[in-house]
Order: sequence, then C-alpha cells, then structure tokens
Amino acid sequence: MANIAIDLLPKEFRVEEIKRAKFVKVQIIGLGVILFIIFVSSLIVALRILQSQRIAQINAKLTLLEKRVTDQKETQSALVLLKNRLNAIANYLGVPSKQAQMHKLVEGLLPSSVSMNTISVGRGGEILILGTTPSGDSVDELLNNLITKDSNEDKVQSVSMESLSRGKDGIFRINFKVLPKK
Amino acid sequence: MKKDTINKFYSAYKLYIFPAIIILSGLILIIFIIYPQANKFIADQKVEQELLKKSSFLEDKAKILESYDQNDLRVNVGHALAAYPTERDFSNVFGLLQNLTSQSGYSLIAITLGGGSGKSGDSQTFLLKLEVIGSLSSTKNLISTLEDSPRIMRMNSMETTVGIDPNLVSTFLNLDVLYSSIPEVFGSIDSPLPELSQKDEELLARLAKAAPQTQPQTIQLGPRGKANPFE
Repeated sequence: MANIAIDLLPKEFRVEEIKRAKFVKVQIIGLGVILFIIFVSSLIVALRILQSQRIAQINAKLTLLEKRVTDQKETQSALVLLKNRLNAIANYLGVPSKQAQMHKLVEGLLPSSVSMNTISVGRGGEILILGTTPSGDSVDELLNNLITKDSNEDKVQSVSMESLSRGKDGIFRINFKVLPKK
Repeated sequence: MKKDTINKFYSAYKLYIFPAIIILSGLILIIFIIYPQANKFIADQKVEQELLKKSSFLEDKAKILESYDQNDLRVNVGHALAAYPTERDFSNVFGLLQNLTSQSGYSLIAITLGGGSGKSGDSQTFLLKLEVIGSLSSTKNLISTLEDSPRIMRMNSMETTVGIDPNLVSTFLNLDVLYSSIPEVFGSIDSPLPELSQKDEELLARLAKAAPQTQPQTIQLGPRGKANPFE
C-alpha cells in the first residue's frame, strides 16, 4: 500500500511557518552583514592606530636626524661656498677674455714684415694697430688674413683701414682697426 | 497596553523592521567610522611615505656631511677664496702681479688702482692699471699668464708702444680683478648638498698647486664673537 500524506494542520499554521522560516533567514543574513561591518570597522581602526604609531616613530627619528644635519651646518655652508666659488672660477680660469683672444689672433695674423708701432686693445676687444712695412704685398696679405674666415677663426666682424700712406722711403704706414664679432 | 501595541506592530512587520535596523546600523558605521577612517588612512599613507623619504634623505645627508674632513674642507675653501675672494684684496694682488710679470719676462714699473668698481657677469671687479716694460714677443705670454693666474682677473684694455728696440716695449695694461661677496643663502636642512664633480676636484688640485703664490683668505661662516661675552 502506497504512503498517503495528509496534512491535518490548518492552512494558517503553514503560512506562519513559512513566514517564521523567512524571518530566520533574514535574521541570519542581517546579523552576518552587521558582524562583517563591525569587523571591517575594527580592522580599519586598528590599522589607523598602528599607522599613527609608525608615523610617531618616524617623526621621532626625523627629529634626531634634523639635529644631526643642523650640527653639520658649518660643513654644509662651507660646501655651498666652495661649490659657488668653483663654479665661478671654472667660467674664467683657462677661458681667455675676448680682448686676449683678439689680441692673440691679430698678432698671429701679422706678416713678419709688418712692424708694429702701437697696438691698442679696447674694452670690447676692438684692436687698433699702427704699423709699418716695406712691402705692399704684406699689406694685402694682412688684410686678406683679417677678412678671411679660415684665417680669422670667424672672430672678426669688420676691418677698417683708418689710413694708409707710403713715404718717400717706400715704407708703408698703416693704421687699421679690427672689430670683433659679438 | 502600549507595550502590547509595539509588540503586535513588531510581530506584524518584523520582516521589514529588522532589515531596516540592520541597514541603518550598517550605514551609520560606514558613514561615521569606516569611510572617514579609510580616507584618513589613505592620506596618512602618503604622509608616511613622504616622511620615510625625508628620513632617508636626511640620513644620507648627515652621513655625507659627517664624512667630510673639516680641515681639508677649510683648506679647499681657503684656496677657492684666494682665487676668487669676497672682497678687494689689493696687497695680495700687488704681490702676485709682481711675480707674474717677472715670470713673463716683463718689468713692472707701476701699478695704479683705478677708481670705483665694476661688474663682470655675476662678479664685481676693481680696476688695476699696470705699466710694464718688456719684449714685444712676450706680450701674448704676459696676457695669458695674467688671465690664467691663480687669482681671477681679466684684461680690460691695453696699449703697447714699440720703440726703436722691440725688446723694450712699453705696455699700459688695465686689468679687471674679480671678487664676489659670499652667497646669502647656504641652504636649509631640506636642501640637497652640492656635489663636487671630477672637474671640481681637478680645479681644486690646480688651485692648491698655485696656493703658495696667493694668500688664502679665511672666512668665518658660523656665529662670531666670544663664547662668553662676560669674560
């Protein structure tokens, strides 16, 4: 004979049971959620406390380090001054001034037959030469040297012949000015 | 009676009331604890990283500063200041110019101090007028010797007059002698230390080699005066 299940309990009881079961589920889930949130809160608060302790330790270490560095203030000042001086000195030592460069250049370009009477170097590096030479070719050679880029190292802006004369003795007297490039 | 009403109300709607209480509590915890604390934690993480970085920087800086030999440093600063001092050093320069001109084969006839002071780039200058006699062929040598001297100076202008004898030319040379006041700022605790490069070391060696020709200038950087003013 097959089992026959007859539910003798009233319908309302069954509905009540379903409601109760639902509520139990809701309670379990709700408690689970709130416990989780409480756990996360506690974790974050604990992490914050640890972090604050770490920051306090680092700050204490920093105070000591700052004192160490402050105690070496004179050494730091000396280093800054030394570096300041060395940077400035390096700009000048071994670097000739424009005046020196122009003087060296023009003197080097003078043909051997040209004798200098006066050479002046101005503040801007301009060169003024009074000289004599027995040879007209030397005058050409001199001017050529001064105006050609290959020989004047591209440092000459202009050459102006202030005066050129030839005496009865055949000696050329030249007065010329060399202006440097800026 | 009131209690019964509340109980009945709760029993009827507990399926909604209980979750609402849970959600409200959760929101309160999130809004007042989790969110602000999490934000502060993230912000303080950055602060912590920066403090660690600063701590590491200061530790390295302190080690480097403590590794310097004070005497060596003082001597090097002395050499640098001898080459490029903080103020006009007439007596030092006069003596040096006598040596340098004679090294170049010239005789120093006169030195005159020019008036006022000038500027060359970031440097201040004072003018010296030299009258020298020597060989024309040595003029180039004289100029380069002066400009390469251990005391920084630059040619301002020059006039050379050649007489009958080219070995006896008269030269009037104007020199700009450079100097510069000490920097106003020497750096703070947080500023990085200047590094001395290989070129700086070579330059220092060069200055040290030339040191006997110049008188080192000492400069006190720290506090001045007596430790106990009442003694």
